[in-house]
Amino acid sequence: MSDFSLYLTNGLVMGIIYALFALGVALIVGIMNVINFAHGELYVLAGYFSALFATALGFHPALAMAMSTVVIFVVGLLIERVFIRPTYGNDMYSLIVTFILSIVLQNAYLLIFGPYPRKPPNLVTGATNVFSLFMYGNQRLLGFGLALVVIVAFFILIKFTWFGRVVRAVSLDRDMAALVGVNPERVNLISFGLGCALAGAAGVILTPIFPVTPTVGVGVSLTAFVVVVLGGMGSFAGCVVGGLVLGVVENLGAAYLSSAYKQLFGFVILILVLFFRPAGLFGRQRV
Amino acid sequence: MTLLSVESVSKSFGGLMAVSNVSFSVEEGQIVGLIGPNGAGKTTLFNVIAGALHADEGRISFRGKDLNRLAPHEICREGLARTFQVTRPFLGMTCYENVLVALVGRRDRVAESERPQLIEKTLDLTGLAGKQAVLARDLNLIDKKRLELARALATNPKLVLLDEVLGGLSSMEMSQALELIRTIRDRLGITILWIEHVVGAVMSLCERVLVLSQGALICEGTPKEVSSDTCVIEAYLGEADAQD
Amino acid sequence: MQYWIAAIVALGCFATLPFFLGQYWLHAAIMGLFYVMMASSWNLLAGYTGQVSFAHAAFAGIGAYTSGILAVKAGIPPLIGLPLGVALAALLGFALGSLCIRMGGIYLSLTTLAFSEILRIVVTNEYEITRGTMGLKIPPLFGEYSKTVSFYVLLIAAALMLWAIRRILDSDLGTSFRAVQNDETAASSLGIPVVRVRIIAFVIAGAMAGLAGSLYGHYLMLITPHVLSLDLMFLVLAMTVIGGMGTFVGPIIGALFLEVLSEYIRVYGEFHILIFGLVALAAARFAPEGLVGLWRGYFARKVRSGQ
Repeated sequence: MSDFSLYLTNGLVMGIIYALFALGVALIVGIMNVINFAHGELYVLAGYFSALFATALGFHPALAMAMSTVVIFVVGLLIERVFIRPTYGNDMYSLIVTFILSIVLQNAYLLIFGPYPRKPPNLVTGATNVFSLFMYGNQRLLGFGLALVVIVAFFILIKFTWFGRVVRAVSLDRDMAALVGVNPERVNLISFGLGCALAGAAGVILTPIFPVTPTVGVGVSLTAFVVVVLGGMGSFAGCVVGGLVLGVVENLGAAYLSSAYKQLFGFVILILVLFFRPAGLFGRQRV
Repeated sequence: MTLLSVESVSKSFGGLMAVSNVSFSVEEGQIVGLIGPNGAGKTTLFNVIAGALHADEGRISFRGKDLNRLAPHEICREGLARTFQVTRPFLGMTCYENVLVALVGRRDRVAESERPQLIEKTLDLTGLAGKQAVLARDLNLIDKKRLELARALATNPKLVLLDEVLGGLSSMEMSQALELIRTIRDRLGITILWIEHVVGAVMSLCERVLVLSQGALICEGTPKEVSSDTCVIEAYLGEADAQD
Repeated sequence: MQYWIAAIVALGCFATLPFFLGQYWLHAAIMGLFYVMMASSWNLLAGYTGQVSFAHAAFAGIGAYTSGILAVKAGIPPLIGLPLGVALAALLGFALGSLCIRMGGIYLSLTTLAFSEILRIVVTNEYEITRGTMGLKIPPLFGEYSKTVSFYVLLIAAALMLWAIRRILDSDLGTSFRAVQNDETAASSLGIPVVRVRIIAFVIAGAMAGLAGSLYGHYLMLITPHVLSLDLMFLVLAMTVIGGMGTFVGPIIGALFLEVLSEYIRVYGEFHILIFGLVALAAARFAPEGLVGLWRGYFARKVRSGQ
């Protein structure tokens, strides 16, 4: 029984972090109808920067994390401006461009940072006794908490700020939003930056637990896509639910069915969803 | 003979009833106009007839055949062609190639040797002579409309659904368009069902007019009958009221 | 007409390569031919019907593993295993195409990506059958191994494949492809059976990739999950994009150009993927029509200035 709770907890912890990856993708898809294949590479970049700031430059880990996230936000802005903006309206090209970008970044990381795993130091160490059932790493618990904080902050942003209102308007009806004076280019730019920053946030939160290597980004991107589709394109709440579902399914599946095929569950879910209910759990049926 | 028969067709989206229990028929050789205020459901009706949407209720038959479960391409092959309100040319292809697609889609295969002639004839008829090699994306608005029509004609239809061809045209272009529509019926023997906002044009060219308002067919008859009918005036005036 | 002459001349030139290329460069030429086949068939699907599939490498893998496993486990001669591999790839192409039919753009690409990754994970894990990442040793296509023979086999296969693609593009099917790519709704309203056309494209592209993959496997005599990977998919995509997506010669030029380039860069270490990536990025961003587009643009300017 305690084994089950351990797997379940792992699933929830990973799930909330998956949700965080996915929110970034969902934001960009909702606003710009662009799928950023390089999403995972930005997660990885955040991890590298976090490690760099903390170890090489000796900043406090928390400061390193915050700075890295900001750096990724700026990188996101640059990517949007240089690569995405010219492809407006042509979904196929933005797909191809971001796919190529992801490969370029992976190889660049290999070149610059080398193949060995890097990680920033933990913020906390040790383990806690969870409900007297099992011992669980503190850094993971902290990770869970931080991810939750960021997600809540994101929802507050969406629900209560001007920017959030714009995001919701554009998600619902792009043309209408343009007609009422929303500047599409600026919204796209900031949304893309923000989406990348969310990937970065996930990166800085997760890398103390799972060190980054040049190629882990692919798995992150794919996980994010599965969650977004599962939760429903255009639904942020869906990302959270979808993330949790995926996290739990993966961990329970790996524990009870087959650990070798852990990565498979997500893809199978993706195909099942796209085939039977493309709108996902909470998405709107696109007319 | 009755070419198209629409019986009690309804279509709703969510809670909105876009087409409500509409019934009418179109006889062979006629030019029938379909008018009504914005949002009356005219294009939705076309989409249902052409197979792009499925009717919730009702029956549509064309030349005696039930169109209900047919896909758009099958309906086209039955002889029912359509144009789109906002033109949809194949932008990356030339005018020649655009019309070629229509020939390729036909059930009765047109031999390769006959195609250039047929395409040239169709383009000439619609006023695009000499523009065979021009890319569709380089055409201006009226030429795009001409191309749209040429493509529809090339499918060898018995009936064409025209969706607002006159929008955005100058008055000279409009009279050219009207002339073309008349030619299509007179010379090619094609029946026409025509949605149009320029009511005057419809009244001058059509033998019969159908009036749609808020999804329902509120009136039909000859142009004279319809223009003096009170329910029609109200339908349009009602729209004017709402705008105040 | 001049195209056919040019093609035959090119084929003739290629056929003489084994006589003056050393073993190393002959290998590069063979790999170039493999990529020509992969890029051209992917272009048919992505460049002509607009379905950007990321499962192309997976189909090559299906071809390779099918004939390879049949040869090793069931003793079936590769010459029989190869058509079986192609048939299986075609069948799975049909399945994938049908699965994706209600999807467009992004969703379709994601589905093909998931399909590809599922296949790679399964192949990697089923060690008993496939030897996973250690690689499966398989016999050559026929007879004794010979680079020269392999070269000619792939040359003939590539020539036939390109001929087939050319014929398709010039046919009614090719016109349907382009119509579907430009505007599905309009195509459908003109009598084009869009669903059927899209699936046919998947079947043909899948079969061709299966063929290329199978020949690749029997040439290298060793297959690993790499052939099913996104890395290989990336190369195919980059070659097509750089050469010119949506054109007939684009993928051919892209594949040969990049294969040669990669051999030169290899001298400086394993940077070639990065460099390809950067070039592909620049191409996608600044010259989406690829080398072919640049060439045509250059020609158009020459014509304009000449007059």
